[in-house]
Amino acid sequence: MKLPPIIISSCHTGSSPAPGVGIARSIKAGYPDSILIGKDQSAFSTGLHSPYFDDVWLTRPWGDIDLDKHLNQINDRLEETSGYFIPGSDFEARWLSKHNIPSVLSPSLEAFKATVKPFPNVHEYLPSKAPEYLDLKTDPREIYNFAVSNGWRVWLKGPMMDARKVYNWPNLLATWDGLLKTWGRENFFLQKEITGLDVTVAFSAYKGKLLGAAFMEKRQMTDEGKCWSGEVNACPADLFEDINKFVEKLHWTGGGELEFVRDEQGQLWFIDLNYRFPAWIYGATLAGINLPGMLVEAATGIPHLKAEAESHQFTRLIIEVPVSNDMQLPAPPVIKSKRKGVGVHKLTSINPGGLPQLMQRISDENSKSEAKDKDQDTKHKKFEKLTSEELSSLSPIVQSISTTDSKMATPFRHYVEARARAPFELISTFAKKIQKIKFSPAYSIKTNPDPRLMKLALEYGFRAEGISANELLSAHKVGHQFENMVYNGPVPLNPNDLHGNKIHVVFADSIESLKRLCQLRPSPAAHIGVRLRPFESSSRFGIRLESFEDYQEVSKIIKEHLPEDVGFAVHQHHQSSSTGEDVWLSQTRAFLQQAKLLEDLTDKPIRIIDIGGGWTNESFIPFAVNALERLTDEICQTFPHADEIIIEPGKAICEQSQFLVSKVLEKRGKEFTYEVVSDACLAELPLAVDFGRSVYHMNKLGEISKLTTGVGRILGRICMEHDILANGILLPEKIEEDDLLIFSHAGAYESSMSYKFGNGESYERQN
Amino acid sequence: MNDRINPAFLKKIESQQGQHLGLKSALDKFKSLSPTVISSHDSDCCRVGQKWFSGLSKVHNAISSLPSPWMKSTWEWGPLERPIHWCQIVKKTVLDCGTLSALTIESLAAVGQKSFSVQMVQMYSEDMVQDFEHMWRDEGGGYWTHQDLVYHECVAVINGNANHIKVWDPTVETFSDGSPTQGHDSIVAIKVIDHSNHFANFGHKVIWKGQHLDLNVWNVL
Repeated sequence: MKLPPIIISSCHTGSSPAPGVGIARSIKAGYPDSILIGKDQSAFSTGLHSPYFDDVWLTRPWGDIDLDKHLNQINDRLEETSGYFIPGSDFEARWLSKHNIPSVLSPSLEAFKATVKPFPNVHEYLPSKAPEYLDLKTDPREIYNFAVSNGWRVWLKGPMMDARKVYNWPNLLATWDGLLKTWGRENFFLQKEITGLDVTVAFSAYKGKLLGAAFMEKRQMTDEGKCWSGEVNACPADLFEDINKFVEKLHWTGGGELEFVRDEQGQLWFIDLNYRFPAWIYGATLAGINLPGMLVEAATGIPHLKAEAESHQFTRLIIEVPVSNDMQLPAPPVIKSKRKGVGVHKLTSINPGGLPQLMQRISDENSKSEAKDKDQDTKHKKFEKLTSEELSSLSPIVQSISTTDSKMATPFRHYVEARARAPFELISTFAKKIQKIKFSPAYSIKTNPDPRLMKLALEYGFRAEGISANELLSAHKVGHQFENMVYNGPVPLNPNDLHGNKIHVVFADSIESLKRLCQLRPSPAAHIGVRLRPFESSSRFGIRLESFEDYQEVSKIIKEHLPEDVGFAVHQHHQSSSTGEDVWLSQTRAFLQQAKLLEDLTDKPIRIIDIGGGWTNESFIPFAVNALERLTDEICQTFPHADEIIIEPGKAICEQSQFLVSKVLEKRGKEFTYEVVSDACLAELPLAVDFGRSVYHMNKLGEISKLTTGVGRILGRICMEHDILANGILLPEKIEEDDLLIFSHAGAYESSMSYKFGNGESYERQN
Repeated sequence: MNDRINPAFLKKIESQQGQHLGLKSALDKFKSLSPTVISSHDSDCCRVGQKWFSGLSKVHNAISSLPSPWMKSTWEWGPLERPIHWCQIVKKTVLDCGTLSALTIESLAAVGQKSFSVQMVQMYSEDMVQDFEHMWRDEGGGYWTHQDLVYHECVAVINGNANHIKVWDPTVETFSDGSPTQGHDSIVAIKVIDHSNHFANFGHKVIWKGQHLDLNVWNVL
């Protein structure tokens, strides 16, 4: 019995290859006389020149092809030849699933619908969990907090394709913007990264029966994280059984790939599901598991040649093949312009046939069909509801609007006393609870020298911590005593600036500074300490303490020059909002061991351990509640002779205390792509693009809504390209000139680093 | 020599054809090699060096739970004269596999973890072995090589409970458990050293990659 022709689509082979060629090689291995037709939407799809294809079917790109007509073409070809079609892309398989063609060997529409990523109910099908995730259609601050709470070990993903690791807020926004441009208006989500080993299972199923599965461990990966070499073995029996139940429930037909991460405890975490064979499928065939062969055999009833395993390990090669005479290379590149240079045809990792456009067309069709049912619901989801605390914090502005008749002078900062007090109260209560050692919170003056906040610091028993003598003098003006102050910064302390006053502790940021401080008589502080650079980091701050020579140099200065009547202290600071709490804690434990070793080598007991963290306001509260007491115990055990722990929470204390209120000067654009010009700018909000914040819109009636993400922008008032206060925000259709835009978390560096700009005054006149 | 090779494996060696043909004579050559021990001058010069190393081990242990995933950033692998003292180690930039393994055992002891010396014989190409001999020309040349086989030192750590072990190779900072089973870079014989009778309750055997290994004798794989 002769095997009917088989059409195999998605044949591009770049750094992130499509599976077409691998499927073809596998089928040829199982059926050497088979007739295979490579189908793709671009002549740049390099795999079409593969010798494993007997014929090529080249169509128009997905972006402009007539989908109905193309469906007829597929049907006609399959009917004419009684052949089969194995789609090599998820999107094509998804599109075809709606039309339920029996000779198309891919999953049903029901299978697609039941497994939409991030597939949070994966545990109902497979022995795995889905990592925590957040839908990005929400308040930007919520997105930022999600990333911070996961230490920026997060992935930005689309429900059908593409995943990018993001590292910080500007990177997240830029990556998201890039993905939006590629994929259109897709529902992206942010997902926690699971640390572990990649485990991938390819499988083949026919009408709900699992035909075979191959288990692959990646051994070499490309920079894009794509497999280049791997080891393939039979799927473990228990996992095979679970996948069997999975395909049975979904009545799966076709190839598939399940991607997991296995963590240190052995837990499988679901990462991705592909609705077709993976690109490495021929690696499984080399290992004796010919999954495409099994699929064709199940569909046709014609047995495939069973191959012996050649090797359980495979690697990819780059080889040159002759270009097909029927599909020759395009004309040479041309010089477009001096700025754009030569228009070279670049090899893309994404299929050149325009799969993103197919995805957009599928999404648009889905949206239209679902729009009627969800219209009302969608309107409500555009904007987040405010919490009662937010409403209460912003109510004075509402009252002002009603009394000033929109003549409110903007921009200005709105200080909320209750918000300002809350973290002071929290940490002060904690400090009082600690009995075994003196526990002192410190207020970082540079974060915001607003006298209202410095007075609260005094009221709640905080030490004042400065990076300059002027800061310490300003703290003294509001009542802080010099003997309670901490000096900690890159500027060497000049005791003359303190007018003979002695402070509690001064930290040296360098070897040179340590030598100088140890030589000062009388000592400017009761304690002299060293700020240690976070271990194995490239921070510009602190003294590096890693090599034997580093330890010898520092310990020699301390042993020989630290005055007898001066206590020894250590300090470390690194940003929890960049690293996440778990990394912050392990870095801090490493710091404690560094300090312990220094203590051992110098025989000088450490009296003060000062730790700083750069937490966000939202992340500091759980840290203080859940981790700080245990850390305090660890410090006391490591340093039984220590007198005091100082903690400097940084922006966590004050960032939430102020809002920046601005006014809309102009509205631009149409539909959902509005942007507005605000009367605030980077001078008032200097870190506008560095972290996520909530943005509120208030109309002239005082009605407030919290904005969610979108494709709009809030532009600043000055003539700088980078003066963008919010990027990727959904602005209300009814936003008007003179409405207010209110930015949260403007109470820390946003306040202390703000400056005057664009008001016609020179720097000298302002100062 | 024969009393140091697991008798059950003697037959296996003798019947080996091709790639393991030289193993018996290699083991005979390597019998004088024992796991590296770091010497101390019993004075401050070595005491301070050892204290720094132990302290630094604790620092690294706060960051990673692997046995010693940091030595390559401090020392490169290469030839080293013997004996080696603590006061020399702190000044060196290059250490050999035996010293890296001895340091790993010291590092794990500093954080309260038991570990064991591992000696092994690995296979490379003869050309590559000649390169090794050339690298070592000033430190004794090919005392640790034989044809296409080389002597290597690693560290065994307990994998879970009981007598299952994993073998950590500090020279490449990875576990040897997933290393090739034949050809280039494969392990052809292994000896796990335990003079503390830690595994006495298990018949002086450990289990590595599903194989039962007799302690303190060469096991041919």
